[in-house]
Amino acid sequence: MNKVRVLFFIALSIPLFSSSRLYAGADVKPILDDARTTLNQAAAKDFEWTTTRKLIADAETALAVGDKDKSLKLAKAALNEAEKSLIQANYAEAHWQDGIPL
Amino acid sequence: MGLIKLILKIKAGLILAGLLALSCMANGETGSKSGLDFKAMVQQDVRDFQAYYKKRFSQVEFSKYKNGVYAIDAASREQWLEMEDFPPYEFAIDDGEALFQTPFANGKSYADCFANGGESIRQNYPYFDSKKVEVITLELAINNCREANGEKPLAYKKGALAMLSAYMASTSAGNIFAVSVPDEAAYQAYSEGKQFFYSKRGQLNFSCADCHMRVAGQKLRADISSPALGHPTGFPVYRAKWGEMGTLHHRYAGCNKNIRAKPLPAQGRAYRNLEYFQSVMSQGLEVNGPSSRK
Repeated sequence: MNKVRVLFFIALSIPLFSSSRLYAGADVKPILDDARTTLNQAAAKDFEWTTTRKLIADAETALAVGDKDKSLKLAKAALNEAEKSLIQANYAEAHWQDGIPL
Repeated sequence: MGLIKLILKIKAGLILAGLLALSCMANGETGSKSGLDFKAMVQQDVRDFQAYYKKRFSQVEFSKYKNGVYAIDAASREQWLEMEDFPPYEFAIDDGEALFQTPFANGKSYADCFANGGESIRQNYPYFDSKKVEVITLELAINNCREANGEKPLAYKKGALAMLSAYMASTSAGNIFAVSVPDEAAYQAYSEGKQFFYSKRGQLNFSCADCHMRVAGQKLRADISSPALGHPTGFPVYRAKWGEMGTLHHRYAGCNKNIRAKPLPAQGRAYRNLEYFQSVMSQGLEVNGPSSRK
């Protein structure tokens, strides 16, 4: 019974840790907006990564020149990174003592 | 019946004691409530921190940690000692002294801003200013001095500020680091620095402790990682990679970039608190800045 419960909760939590929220269509702008918002949340906690803003900028550039596939791919990558940096920040806030090797 | 009551009382007592212990542990990490012995907690941190390196590098004398990676790696130390025959930071000390002696437009000078005329004081920085409720590093104090005398602040990572800092450190050579955590507000800043030090960040998910405690003495790509104990003592440094003098916060920014974390502002709150924590951990070591690094 316990195993069933554990599997159930794991299945429920998968979307929390998946690379990004589900976007049914191929509309880049909401993904970029989401990436920017999430990145700003991580940055406010001093946990911004050096690579994420460039992904957003590259996605915007690709969108501007009409390369929608490339833009979508980059926007999703940016959102993925932004989410991970925010998860990292929140995890560090709660568990930084675990990093003390004493 | 009496026995059952006694057992219930003992259980209640144990639960209460447990709750009190948990409360103390939580408060001890954040320093958020008064009534705790902050100084004792900090001294315990210092003992644990320094004992970690004593265990990791049992052959290394404590006093040698002021030399960074050169304390623990013989081959690197030989090269460094040869470089020290003609120290690349000597010009910076001379330039820094000239800047230090040059009066401001209002006729006053740096010496007017600091205790003991700015000589032999490096070991007291950073300190916690209880009125401003913030950590004051030497570099911040230099710029505060300039601004108080109507001068523009200098850039924090290199250049004139690094030279001034180099000169002031040189007048303090051999003095023992004496950075303390005097009160609860200071403990809060210290705790923030400590949290920064042990938090994983950046795309590579590394903390300061990962590279400079766990992996200290081992190779990270082509370089051997230095022990965190003694990090602040030799700054500012002439770094071969930079080709010039740079401050500790310049180095912090470089470390953050290496792990793909966006560097934070030099002399911002986060880096100052980190320097505060690192300086407290390095208490008992000599000031030996400026120095040189790869």
